[in-house]
Amino acid sequence: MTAVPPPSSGQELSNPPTDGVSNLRFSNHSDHLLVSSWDKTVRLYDATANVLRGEFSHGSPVLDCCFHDDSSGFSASADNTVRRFVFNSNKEDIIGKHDAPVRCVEYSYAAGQLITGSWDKTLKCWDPRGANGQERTLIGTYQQPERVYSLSLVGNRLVVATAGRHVNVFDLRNMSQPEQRRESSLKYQTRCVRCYPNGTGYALSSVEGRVAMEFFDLSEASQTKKYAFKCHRKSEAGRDIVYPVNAIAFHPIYGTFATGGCDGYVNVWDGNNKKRLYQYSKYPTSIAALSFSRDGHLLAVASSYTFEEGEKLYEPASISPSKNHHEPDAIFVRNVNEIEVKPKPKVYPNPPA
Amino acid sequence: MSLSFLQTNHQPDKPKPSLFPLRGEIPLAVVTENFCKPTTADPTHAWRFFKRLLSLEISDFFVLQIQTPFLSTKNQTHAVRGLLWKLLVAGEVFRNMSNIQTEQLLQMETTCGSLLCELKIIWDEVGETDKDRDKMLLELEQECLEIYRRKVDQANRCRAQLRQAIADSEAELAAICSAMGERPVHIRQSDQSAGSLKEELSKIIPQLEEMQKRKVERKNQFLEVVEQIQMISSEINGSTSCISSKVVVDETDLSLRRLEELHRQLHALQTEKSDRLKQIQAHLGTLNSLCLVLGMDFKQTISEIHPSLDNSEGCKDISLDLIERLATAIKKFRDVKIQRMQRLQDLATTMLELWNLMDTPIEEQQMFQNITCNIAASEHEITEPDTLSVDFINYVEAEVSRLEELKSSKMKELVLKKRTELEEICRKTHMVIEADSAIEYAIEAIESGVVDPSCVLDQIEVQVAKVKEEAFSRKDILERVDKWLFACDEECWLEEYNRDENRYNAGRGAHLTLKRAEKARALVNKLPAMVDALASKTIAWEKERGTEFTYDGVRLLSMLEEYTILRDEKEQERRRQRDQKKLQGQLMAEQEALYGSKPSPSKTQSVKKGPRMSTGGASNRRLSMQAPKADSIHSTRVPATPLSRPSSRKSDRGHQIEHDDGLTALATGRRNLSRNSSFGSSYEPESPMMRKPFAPISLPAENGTFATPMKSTNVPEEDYTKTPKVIMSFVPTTPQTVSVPMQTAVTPAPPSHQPIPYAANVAKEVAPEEVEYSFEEIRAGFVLPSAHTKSIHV
Repeated sequence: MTAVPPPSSGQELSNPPTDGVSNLRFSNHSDHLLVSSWDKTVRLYDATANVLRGEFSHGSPVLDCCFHDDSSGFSASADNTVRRFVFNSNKEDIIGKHDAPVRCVEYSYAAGQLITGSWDKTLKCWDPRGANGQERTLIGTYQQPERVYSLSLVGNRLVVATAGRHVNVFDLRNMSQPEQRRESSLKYQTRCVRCYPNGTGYALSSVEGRVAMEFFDLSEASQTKKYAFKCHRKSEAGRDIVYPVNAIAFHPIYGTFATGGCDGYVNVWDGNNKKRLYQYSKYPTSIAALSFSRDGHLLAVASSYTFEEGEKLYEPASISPSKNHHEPDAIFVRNVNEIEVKPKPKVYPNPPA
Repeated sequence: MSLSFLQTNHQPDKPKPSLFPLRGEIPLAVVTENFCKPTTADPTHAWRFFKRLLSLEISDFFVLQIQTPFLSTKNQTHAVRGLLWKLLVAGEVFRNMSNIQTEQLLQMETTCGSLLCELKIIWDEVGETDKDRDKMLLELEQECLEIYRRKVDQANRCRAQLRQAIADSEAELAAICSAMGERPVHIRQSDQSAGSLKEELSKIIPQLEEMQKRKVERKNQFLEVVEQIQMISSEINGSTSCISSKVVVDETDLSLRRLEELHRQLHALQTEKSDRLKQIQAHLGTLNSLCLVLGMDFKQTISEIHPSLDNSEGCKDISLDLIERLATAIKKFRDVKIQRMQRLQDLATTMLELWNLMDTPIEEQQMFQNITCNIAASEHEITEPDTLSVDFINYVEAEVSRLEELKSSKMKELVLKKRTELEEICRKTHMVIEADSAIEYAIEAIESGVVDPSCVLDQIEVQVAKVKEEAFSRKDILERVDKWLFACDEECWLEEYNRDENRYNAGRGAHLTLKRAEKARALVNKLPAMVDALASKTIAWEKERGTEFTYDGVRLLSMLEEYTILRDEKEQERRRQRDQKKLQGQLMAEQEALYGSKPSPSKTQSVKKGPRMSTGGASNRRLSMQAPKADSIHSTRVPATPLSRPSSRKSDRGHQIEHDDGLTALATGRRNLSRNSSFGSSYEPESPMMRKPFAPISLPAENGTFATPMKSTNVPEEDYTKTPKVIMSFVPTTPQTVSVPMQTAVTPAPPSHQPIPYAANVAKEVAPEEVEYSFEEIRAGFVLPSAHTKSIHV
C-alpha cells in the first residue's frame, strides 16, 4: 500500500470526509457529487472544480444518500431517520423514520418516490413532495425477508438485496408483493446490487470476491445467459485471498461496469463479452463506493476503509504500518478514458454449445 | 609740395650743424613753412627767404620768432617753441636776449623759452649779475648735457643688451641644432642684410622658439623610448620596482640616429620579452600537463613558484630567475612523474603477474586496463590526467596488495592442500609423516610472514614426491598387510561365531553366515603362511632399504611377531577348552546315564565381545595412534550391519517430516484462521473454525493442506460445475488495455446441496442459527433484536 496514491488515481478531492465513506453519487444533471459518510455528514462537492459546496451534519452516521434534483438530496441515517436537505438554503427536514438504521435510499424519477431500505427488514416508499410528517409522506411499508443491504432501481423495477442472500424484484407500480423472489446465486453475503442501465437485469456482488450477472427475464433463453465471475482476489503464497466486492457502478452509456473491492482495486468489466477491460492502479485502501458521472466521463472512487477487518484507527501505513490502522479516507475523481470503458467486440464468438 | 621742395633744399644745410644742434627737418620745416606761408605762391620768394635763413644770425632768428603769431596751429607753435628751446640750449640765443621785448615774451605760452624769459625777468628783477647769470645758465646747460649723456648711455646699454640677446639666441639655436644633429637653420650672414638689431632679434627668436619646440618634442620621444626600455629591462632583470623613479635622457644627443638606436634597443628588448613570455608559457603548459598527470593543483603549484603566475592577466614577472624556477619545478615534477611512473609500472607488472598467476577474470582486469596498458610507456607518453596522482597510485597499490593478499591466501590454501595430500598419501600407505610438525610450523611461519609460502610449497612437494616414491615401494607389502589384517578380522569373527551356540539355528541369512564362516576358515588356515610370507617380504624390504618398515608408526615385523605369539596363546587356550569340553561331555554323558536328562544349551552364553584376541595389540595401538582414521578404516572394512538401518531411519525421518508438515500446516491453518477472525475474535468468541465471510479469505482444502486455487482458476469449481463448455477460453487481447476474460462459471441453481469445501460453511452448518451481519451493521453495532444467538456483540 502506498501512502500517497500515484497521480494516475485521479484528482483527490480536498476536504474529504473524516471517517469512512458510505456512499457517493454523481448528480444526474451536473458533475456535483454527493457523499455520505460515517463522520455523520453528507457533503456536496463540485467534482470538476474540486470544491466543497455544502456539508450537512447528522446526529449519527449516514449510511447512504442520493440526489433528488440538483438542488436537494436525501440521506439515510443510522439514527433510523430519512432526511431531505435543500442545498441552497441549507434547510434540512426529516421525511420519516424506520425502526432501525436506514441502510439505503433511492429516488425514483419514474415514480417520483423515495424508497428506503432498512435493517428493520422493511422497505418504505415516500412521497417527498408531501408535507412534513411521516403520515403524509409515507406511501407504504413493505416487509422484507431480511435486513435490506442494497437497493437498485431501473425504470419501474426495484431490486432489493437483503441479508440471507435474498433478492426481491419489485415493480414500483405494484409494491404489494415482489414481482420475483430470488436467492442470490452467490453463496455469500450480498454486498451490492446494481441494475443494468438497459433494464434487463442486475449485477450482484458478494463478500467473497464474486459478482453474479442476473437477468429479470425468467425465460430459459435469458436465464442461460446468467453467470458469475470471480474478481478482487489475490493469489499469495499459494493461497487465494478473496476480498469483498463493495461497489458496482455501471457506465451510463456503454453499459460496462466498474467494481471496487476491499483490495483497493477498481476493475472495469464488459459484462456482455465477459471480459475485464481495465484495472486501475491500486488505491490506498478498500474501495467503498463508485459512481460514474451522468455522461460517464468521470468516475468517483471512494477509497475508504469499510470495516472489513473490524475497528482500525485512522493512520496512514507510512506512519505505523500496523494492522490496526488504515489509510486516510479519500475520494478520487478520475477522468475516464473511452478505451477503459468501451466494450470490446468479441474477437470470435463463443464456440457453439 | 613745398615740403619736398624744402627737403631738396635741405641738403645744403648739412654743413652747418653748429647752427642747428638738433638735426631734424621738422622744426626747420615748420619754420620754413611759416616763413613760406605768405609767399607760397612764389617759390623764388621762398628760396630767397631760405637764403636769408641760412645766413641768419641768432638775433635775426629771434626776429623770426616774434613773427610766430602767424603760426596758427598749436603744433606749429609747439614746434617753434621746441626749436627755440633748442636754440636756447645751444646757448646762442641768450647773447642777444636783451632786445627781446617783454610783452612779446609774455604772450608766449610757458615754454623753455618762456621759462628763460621768466628767468630773465626774475634775474632782472633780482638784479643778478651777468656773471651769475652766465654761471647759472652754464649750470643749466651742464645739467641738460648731463641728461643727454645719460640718455645716450642708456641707449648704448640697450644696444649692447640687444646684441647680447641676439648672440645668446644664436648660440642657443646652434646648440639645439647640434644636439638634434641638424644643420643650423640660421647661419648668420652678419654683414649681408643687417637691418637693425631689433629686426635681427625678432627674426631669430621665432626660429629659436621653433627649434626649442622641436627639441622638446624630440626629447619626449626619447623619454618615451627610454622609459619603455627601462621598463622592459627592469622586467627582464626582474627588479621588483618596475617603474624607475626618473627617466634621464642625455640632452646633448637627441639626434635621430640616437633615437633610431634606442628604438632598436627597445625592439630587441621587446623581442626578448616576448621570447621569455613564450618560454614561460611553454613552461607553464608543461607544468600544467605534469600537474594534471600527477593529480596536483596547477594553480597552487604555480602560485607557489611565483604568485604573479597565478593571476590570469598575463604574468608580469619575466625574469630569468622565474624561468629558472619554472624549469627547476618542471624538472622536479618530471622527476616525480618518472618516479611515480616507475612505481605505477612496477605495480602494473606485479598486477599482471598476479593476474596471470591467479587467472583473474577479465572483468576484474578491465578496471585496471588503463594502467597495465601503460606498462611500457615512456615518460612523455603518459599524458592522461590523474594517471599518476597519489590517490590513483594508492588505489592501484591497494588493488595490488589486495591481489597479493589473495595470492598469499591462495598460496596458503595450496600449501594446506598439498599438506592434506601428503597426509592422505601417508594415511593410505600407513606411514607417519615425519616432518609433520615442521609443516605445521611452516604454516604458522607463512601466516606471520617469516617464510615464503612458495618455499614451503616446494618443500612439501619434495616431501610428497618422496613419500609417493616410498609408498610405491611399500605398495606390495601393504597389499599383503591389508590381506593379512582382513584375514585377522575374519579370524576374529570366526572365533566369535564359533562361540555362538545358536549359530546353527536356522534363521534369516543363516546360510550366508555359514558361507562366510566357511570362507573364513579357509582363510584362517592360510594365515600362518601369509604371516610368514609377509614377514620375509618385510625383512627383504628392510634389508634393501636399511630402514624399518612401519605401519602406522609401528614396526610391521613386531606386529607380526606379536600376532604369532597371540595366535600361539590362543591355540593353547583352544586346546585347553577343547579338553575341558571333552571332560564336560564325559561328565554330562555320565549324568545322562544317571538322570536321563540333558540340559538345554545355555542361551545366556550370548556372544560377548571380548577383547579382540587376534590383532588386539596392534589394532589397539593403531587405535591409540589414529583413532578417527582407524574408525574410518573399520567402517570401510567391516561391512555395515544391516543396510536397512539407515533406510529405516530415513523413513522415520520421512515420517517426521510429514508429521512436521502436518503440524506446520495446522499451525499455518490456525494462524490464518486467527488472522481471518481478526474481528471475529471480538465479535464471535465461539469456534475458531467459525468464519464470517470477509477478506482476506484463505481457502483450506479438505485434506488440511492449503490448496492453490489460482492453479485451478480455469477449472470450474466443483460446486459450480455444470456446463464446463461455457468457460471462457483466453481471448487474444488488444495490446492497449489488457482485457482479461472473467473467471466465470455458470451459476448453479440455488440452493446448492453439494458439500461445501469451505471451513466457513462447515461452521455454518454446525451453527445454523448464526446471524450474519454486514460490515456496516457490525460497525454500527447493530444487533437483531430477535436474534436468539448466544452471541456475539460487545
